[in-house]
Formats: sequence, structure tokens, C-alpha cells
Amino acid sequence: MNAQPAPLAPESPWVFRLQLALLIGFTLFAASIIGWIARLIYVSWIWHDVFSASIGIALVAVPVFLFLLFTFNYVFWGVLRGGHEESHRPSPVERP
Amino acid sequence: MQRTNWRNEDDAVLLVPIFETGRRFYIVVTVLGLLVLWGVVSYAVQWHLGLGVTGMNYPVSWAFYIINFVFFIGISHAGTLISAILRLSQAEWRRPVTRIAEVITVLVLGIGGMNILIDLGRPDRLLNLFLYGRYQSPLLWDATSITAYLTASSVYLYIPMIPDIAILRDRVVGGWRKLLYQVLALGWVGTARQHRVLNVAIAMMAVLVVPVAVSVHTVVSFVFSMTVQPMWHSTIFGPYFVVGAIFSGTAMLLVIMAILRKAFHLKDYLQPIHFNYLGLIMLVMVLLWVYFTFAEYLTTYYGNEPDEMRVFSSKFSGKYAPVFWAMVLFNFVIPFPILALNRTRTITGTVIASISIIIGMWLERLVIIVPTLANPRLHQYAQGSYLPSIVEIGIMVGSCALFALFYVLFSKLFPIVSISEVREGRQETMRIIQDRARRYEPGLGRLPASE
Amino acid sequence: MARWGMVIDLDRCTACQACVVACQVENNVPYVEESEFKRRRAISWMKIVSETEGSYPDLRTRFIPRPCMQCDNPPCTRVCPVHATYLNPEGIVAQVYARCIGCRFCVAGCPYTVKYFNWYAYHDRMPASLRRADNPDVSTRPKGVVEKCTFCHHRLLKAKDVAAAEDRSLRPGDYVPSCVESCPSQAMYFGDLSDPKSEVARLAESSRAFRLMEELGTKPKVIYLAERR
Repeated sequence: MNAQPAPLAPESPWVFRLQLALLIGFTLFAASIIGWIARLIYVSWIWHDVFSASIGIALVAVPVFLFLLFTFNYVFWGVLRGGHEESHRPSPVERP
Repeated sequence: MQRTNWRNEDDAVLLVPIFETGRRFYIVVTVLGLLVLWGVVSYAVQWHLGLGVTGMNYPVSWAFYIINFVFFIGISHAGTLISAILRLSQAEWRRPVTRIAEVITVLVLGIGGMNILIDLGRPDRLLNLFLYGRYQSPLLWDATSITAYLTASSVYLYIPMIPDIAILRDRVVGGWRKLLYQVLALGWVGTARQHRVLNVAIAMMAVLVVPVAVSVHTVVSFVFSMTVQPMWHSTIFGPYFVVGAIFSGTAMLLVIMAILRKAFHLKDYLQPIHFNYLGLIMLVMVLLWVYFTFAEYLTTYYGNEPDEMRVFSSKFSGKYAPVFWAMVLFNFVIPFPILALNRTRTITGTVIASISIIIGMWLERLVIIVPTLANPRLHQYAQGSYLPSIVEIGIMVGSCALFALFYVLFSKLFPIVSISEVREGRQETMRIIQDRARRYEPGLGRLPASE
Repeated sequence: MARWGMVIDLDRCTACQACVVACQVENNVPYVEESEFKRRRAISWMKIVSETEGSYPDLRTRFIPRPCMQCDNPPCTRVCPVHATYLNPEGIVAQVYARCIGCRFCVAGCPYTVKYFNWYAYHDRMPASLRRADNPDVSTRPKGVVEKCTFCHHRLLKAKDVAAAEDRSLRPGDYVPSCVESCPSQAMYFGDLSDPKSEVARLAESSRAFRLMEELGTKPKVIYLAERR
């Protein structure tokens, strides 16, 4: 007798708050990395110290972090909202 | 605390480490904890007194900590790179292996970064790196790319874990674990839309992670190759380090797979074929590593440039010859025959080869870093020397123990083999492989087992 | 803008090491304990590097005083992650002890191995009697930072102050590092390489002039005059 996934019990409101906190935390992290890179670009500009290197690194690194932020948001909202389909069809994965 | 009918499921064995805690767990955690404590105490001594407690000196000002930094960052290529490449090439045999590999990556990146901080003379001034950093310095490239890789591999570890966390959420009744799983599962129920979101995201991440991973060990190599020191200033360093990283990473993955297979009774999931295929990857890496090493040393030798030849002789026949030849022994002489012969590419064989490679690759880092520093251009007759101190050994042991400890704790909270990926395989693998075979040769009919 | 450089006449140098001692005294270079010396951690901003050719009895030993080369294309400043070492407008490679995080990248990057690291707080560990002899014009270094020869930069600042107070510009001879000042055989010269009338600029054009490891492209500003045969 295989266990069916438990019918989703009503979750405590804390669950969504903590999930949001996770998202906000990740966003703050990505924002601080991008802010750090911006700061280093600024410092290299005012001290006339290889500004091109800072721009070069930023051109590669910032899109990576923005992409990660986008992907995380995509998964976060996609999964969170994607559970409310009218036809709840458990996919093959859920059937052990 | 948990429902008991999970035991009757298929794949129940994958849930055992999470729901059952035996005495062995506590023993392992205690032992690892004590080793970590040794590392912490060692660092406390170093923090208080200064880097003088290490064996470093003039001119060998980089040693154990940098070796370990490069070594740990190198191992990170196992995880995400293997997992991403196997996903991109749609290799069906990857399914039980991906999470084991991804966890390695996330943890060793942290440990590697920790070792660099340990190497700083003034870690209390770390803020200077954030306020006044210079992007002309390879250390800043390191800091940026390792941060990017750590973030990317954490995301890449988490996304495929969501269905598994949902499985746990539905089997745990209460407590902090229930809340943890509820939060992290993001309300996963397995609808078609959720699956679509997940697959798209995993595919995108797999593509992103490969260049990020390659860039990481390339910039680590640039720390050495961007100087003008003999046998460091070499254009081969970027690819050499990446190959070495994949090499040592795959070896570490194999060893950890073997340990998990024994400890968690995963015989049905980690089969000889997995070790065989990873062994073949390692065989290719052995040959690539030998090729790069040969090219590097022959070029140096043939060029016969005096400063470089002093470093070369020191490695080949001088003070560092024992380390150099041990490296050749452990990286090539031992693993190559084991991995090349079908008869010996068994689980035991590949594990022996992997342990040998892990030792050999650590020695390779030593061979790259120390002899060049010990034979500076200017002090021809004043060679340097280096021996590690007890503090450095303590911190190295502590680093390894910390990695193991976090790994054990992870496997206590989350399934170390990706349950949903394995189940998906059970449903989909035959169809996928048959579709693929039919594209090779349209005349191939359906194989009987597919019904 | 001046470009400070040094010329060392190897024909006159007797390797007496007066320059080494003078530098140590002037710059508060810490004395490390014997145990640390044995562990190869002695700090010596100015160092006499020796090279011996041949075997007994046909020996020939050369001695080269080696301060920091103050390169115009320094391999050390390139790799510093925090701006703790940089080439200042007058050509001196400066070391900012307060900024240094002790990563030792510059130490690993210097092909002349002129950079030294404070493995312990060597200065603070010196006996009080020795520390009483500290030069108040030079800051002492804490543990965990890199230090090296600075062409006695503090003397430049002092000379500029004196010149400003006397309402004149800097004269040749106003600013001289302590090693140059102390050499008993007057083998060392110091001045502004960008001033064509200065002695160092003239000597730098000599047929006996060479720089160490010029082929690396570091553009060192310490010029040696080869020994006459």
C-alpha cells in the first residue's frame, strides 16, 4: 500500500512569510554583490586606477547575478502560484 | 514524529537517513566535531599570535593555506560541472549522482573561501576588500567568480530539490522540520505547470553553471600565472587548472559515492555502472592531465631558461623531487592501469584510483606553488624551504572535517539521492533511450521491455 | 614631477653593509629573534645579495646591494587587491601599512623578492631598550602587513617641508635616503632621474650602467654601474 501525498493541510501563515523572507534575503544578497561591484567601479574611477578592468569584470559578473535573481524569482513564483491549477493532476513523479 | 507508512514505499531506503538516527550518526558527528574543534583552536592561536605560527617564511610566503584553497576550489568542479554537463548531455545514468555532486560543490566552495580568509595576515581588515578593492588584481577576480559560482550552485542545488522537499513535507507530521520543509517546498504539488517551471529553470541553470565553473578555476590559476615568476607565468595554467579541477573533483565524487553507498545501503541506486562511467571520465582526465603536465615541463626544459631551470631541477631531481615523483605516481602510475582495464574498473578499483588521485592532485598543488617561491629569481644560492607547522595541519584537518560534517548534516535533513529524479527516470528513461535509439536508426522497433 | 632613482657603483661597493644597518636604524626595521631568524623570517629592506662563481681556490664573489627597485612598471602594485601598495606620482612604490590585509600577493609577485611580511608583531616584540631607538618619523608596522624599502620617503616629505618653510624649491642633496648617506665609499648616488642635469641621470647613461632583470620589463629605478675589470 503506497502512501499518497498527504492532502495539503492549511499551512500556517508563517510559511509564506518565511518564504518571502527567503526571497527578500536572496534579493538583498544579489543587490549587495552588485552594489559592491558598483562601488569598486567608482573607486577605480576616482583614483584613476584601471577603470577598464572594473568595467570588464562588471560586464560579466553583474548579468550573472541578475540572471540568478531572475531564475530564483521565476522558480519561486512559478512553483508557488503553479499549485493552484483547476485540474490537479499529480504527475508521474508523485506516484511512487 | 513521522508517519510510519513511508517504509513501505519504493525508495524508502533513501528516506531512512532522514527519519532514523542511529548511534553511528552521533559517533560520526562527535568525531568530526572534535576535529573541527582542533581546527578552530588552531585558528584561534593563529589569530592571536599571527601567521608566524605557520611554517611560512621568506621567500615561501604562500603554502598550505593556498594549496588547500586551490585544492578545495578544484574539487568544486566535480559537483556542479558533472551534474550540469550530464544533464545537458541527457545522460540518463546521472540521476542518482547529481545531488551527491551538487552538495560537494556548494560545501567545498565555502571551505575553499574560508581557507583564503585564514591565510590573510589581517583578516580584521577584510572590509578593505569591499571598500577599496581593485579589479586589476586576480584576487578580486577570484572573489567575484567564487561568489558567483557559490550562488549559482546553491540555486542549482536547491531547484531540483524542491520536489524532494515536498515529499518530505508530506511525510513529516510536525516540529521545526515540518516548517522547514513547508517553507522550502514552495507549495509544490506536482502540477504540470510547476514541472514546466522547474524543468525550464534547471535547463537554464545547467547552461549558466558550466561557464561560471570554468571561469572559477581559471581565475584561480590566474593568481599564479599573472605574476612573472618562473614556472608560474605560463599560458597553460588556465586550462591546466580546470582539467586538474575536474580530475580531482570527479575523484572526490567517486569516493563520496562509495562511502554513501556503504553507509546508507544504496546498492540499488549507485550501481557498478555509475562507477564505471565516472571511471571512464576520470580516465580521460588522467590522460588530459598527463598531456598538460608533459607539455608544461617539456616546454620549460627545452627552453632552458636559467631561472625556470632552477625551479624545474628543484622539482625533477632536487629538494622537491620526492613530492613531484609522488605526484606522478598518484596521479598517473596508480590510477591509469586501474581505470584503463575493464577488469579493474570496478567499484573497488575506481575508489582506489580516486583516493590515489585525490592525494596526487593535492601534491600537484604543492608542486606548483612551493618550488617556485622557494627558488626566487634573485637569490640563486639562497634557496627557500618550507615545512608545515602543527597549526596548518590542524586547520587542514579541521577544514576537511568541516566539509564532512556539513555533508553528514545535509544528508540528515535532505535526501542525498534525488528521489524525484530517480522516480522520473523509472517512468521516462526507457522511453527517452528508445526515442534516442530510433533517431540513430529509424528501423529500430520498440524493445519488448517498454510496454 | 620628480622621478627618484638610485645609482650604485659596484666598483666602489665594498659590501661593508653600512647601508643595511643605516636602513634598519632609520626605518625601524624590526629585529627578529634568533629563533625567527633560523626560520628564515628576518626582515632586511636593504640587503646585500651575493653570488659566488667558481670553486676554491678560483673563487669570485660578487656583492650587490639590493634595495627595492622602485619599478616604474611594478609587478607588485598590479596584484594588490586593496590599494595598499601603489606607485606614487614621484615614482616611489609606496606601502600603506594601514590598508594592507596581509594577503602577500605582492610578496609573491615581486621578482626581486624585496618585500617582507611581518609574520609576528616583530616590532612590538623587540626589547624596550631597542624600541627606544625608534625613528619617530617612520611608522612602525603591526603584525600581518607587508613592508619594504621606500627610498626613505619620510625624508622626502621632511625635505619638502623644509624647502616650503624656506620658500624655495627642493635642491639636489636635500633628499637622500639613509643608505646613500651612510655609504663610506660613496658608492651610492641618489636624485631625480627626470632631471637631465642630475648626477643620477648622467650616470644612468654610462656605458657601465645596467639594471637587474631588465628583460622582465619592470623598469627598475635602481641602476648599477658594473665593476671595472
